[in-house]
Amino acid sequence: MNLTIEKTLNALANVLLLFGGILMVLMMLQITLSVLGRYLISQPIPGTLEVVSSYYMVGVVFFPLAYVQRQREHIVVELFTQKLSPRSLAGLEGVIYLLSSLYVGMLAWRGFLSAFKAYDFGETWTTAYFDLITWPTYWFVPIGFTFMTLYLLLQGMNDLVMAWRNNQIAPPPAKHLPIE
Amino acid sequence: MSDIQIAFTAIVILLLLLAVRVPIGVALGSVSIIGIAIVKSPRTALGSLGSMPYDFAAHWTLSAVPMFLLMGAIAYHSGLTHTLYRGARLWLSFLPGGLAVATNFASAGFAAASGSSLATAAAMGRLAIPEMLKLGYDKALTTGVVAAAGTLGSLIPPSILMVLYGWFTEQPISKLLIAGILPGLLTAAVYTVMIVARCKLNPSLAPKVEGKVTWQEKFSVLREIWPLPLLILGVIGGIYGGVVTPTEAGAFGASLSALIALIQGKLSWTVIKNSVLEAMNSTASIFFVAIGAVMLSRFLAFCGMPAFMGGLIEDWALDPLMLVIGTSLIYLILGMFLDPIGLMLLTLPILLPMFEALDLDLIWLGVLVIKYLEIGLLTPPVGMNAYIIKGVVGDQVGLTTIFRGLGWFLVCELLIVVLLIAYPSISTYLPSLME
Repeated sequence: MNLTIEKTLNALANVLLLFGGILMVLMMLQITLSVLGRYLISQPIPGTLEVVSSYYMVGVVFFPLAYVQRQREHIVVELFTQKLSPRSLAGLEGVIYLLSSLYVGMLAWRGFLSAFKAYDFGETWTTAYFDLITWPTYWFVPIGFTFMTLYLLLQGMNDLVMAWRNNQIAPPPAKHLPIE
Repeated sequence: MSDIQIAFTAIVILLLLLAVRVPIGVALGSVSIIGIAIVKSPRTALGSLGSMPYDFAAHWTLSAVPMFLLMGAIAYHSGLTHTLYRGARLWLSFLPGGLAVATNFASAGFAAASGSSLATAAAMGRLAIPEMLKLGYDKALTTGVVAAAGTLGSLIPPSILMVLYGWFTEQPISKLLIAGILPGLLTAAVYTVMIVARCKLNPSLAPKVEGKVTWQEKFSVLREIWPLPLLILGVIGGIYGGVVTPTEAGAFGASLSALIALIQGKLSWTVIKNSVLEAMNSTASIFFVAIGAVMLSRFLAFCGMPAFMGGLIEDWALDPLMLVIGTSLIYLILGMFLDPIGLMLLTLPILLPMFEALDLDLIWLGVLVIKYLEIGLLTPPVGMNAYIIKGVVGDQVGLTTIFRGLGWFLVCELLIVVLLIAYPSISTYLPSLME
């Protein structure tokens, strides 16, 4: 049963990731073309700032959240717990993930409320050229947080079961972000 | 308990949570939410969860973060960054300790383009360490130079840390990015002088490379490495000249590195996929921490922390110099176990009010803060760069040897920090020309 849930979850998270990736590439291309347009034919792409801020950025930030959790790559301090046995580590991470799901789940819930509000209000951004509808992207936030919550619950329970049964298969250690 | 006591209790709890492996973003956010619920009301706490993540992410200024990350990822995955070392080696091997000097400069370029100290240490470690060891270079020097030089990247633009710092302190990001150039070059220069001087005085540290490099070789290698310096200079020039905003520079740099990779026949589907995936992964994890940090600053504001910290400065009649030195100690201690981005986002909400109360130049402080953060990657017991290098060399070199090698670089850093504090114009001169 667990495996089916995990497979479905992975498939859905991959779709989100794909959307995020497409938005990331579009963001790069549109900004580049807009800059070229501004200098070559004195005509930037209208509304670039607005689309980048309210569409691309929101997708690029919130869609990959679930994937990062799947890889266990959200940033943690490892120093004080790196000497733990695989079993204790699994137990510890299980508890932490389940508790974390409360926080992330709350972000998802409040995000949904906020998205409904934006929808009811018909949230738009008035640009110099046109009115940009922005309410749809408010949904990106709760969608991203919801999937992250699901992974936290799934991994948390798996880890606890593992610690309980004392399986030798340890979860892969969380890796540090290769940034500065 | 007064609100201020609650705030300090919360900070202690936060540090404890971090120590037991709670994800930094979760720890920051949940402690702040509970704190707001206590100080204000649960309603206010829930209210601040609602639209804040969206408002934070849907931001033009911060879009420089994913774009710089993408640029770095493409430059890295297409191998653009790797050819630098070959070029630096051919041009600099005539110096005493020539390979170490070459590694120093290649790492600086690599780190500037890839935007990652840790990735630089890992990649340059694999390229340069085996070669230096084969030639009989001193082990401590070899590993030390690779671990230390990677940290130059977050001062030389483009720098993710600078963008985040600029957003938090509401300083112009283009000026901050430019402010890092001279301190970054100064660091590279001081490192070089130290390496050359040590190898001159004690030639056994770095045996001379046999064989002469011809000018023909020197120039032919330039044909391969020119794209990367061009890319970095292009990004810097564009920002400095006010031709593009940092975000635009990032997007343009990403497109340009993809184009260069395409021309060199290195832009495969795998390269694209891995680059985008890595950039997304980093973006999401950075923003998740940052959302928690925004929550923390809100909570601290509700507690009256900014006014309290500002008041402390007046009560103690704190001298700016004391504050700057005190800050360096905080970063040195916390930097021993927190990663740079998490550490900066955690400390800025607390330190910023003090900086502002003393009316200090926030661009100058940005350079110092980032310098402190990078030094944290090099200090024992847990300088992260040293551990990366340890991972690369395996059993050949012990961790103590690596830290012994880093000792010389830390002495250099001390000198550099003193210079940066004594002469703020090293940091502020270039940005002041940008009016």
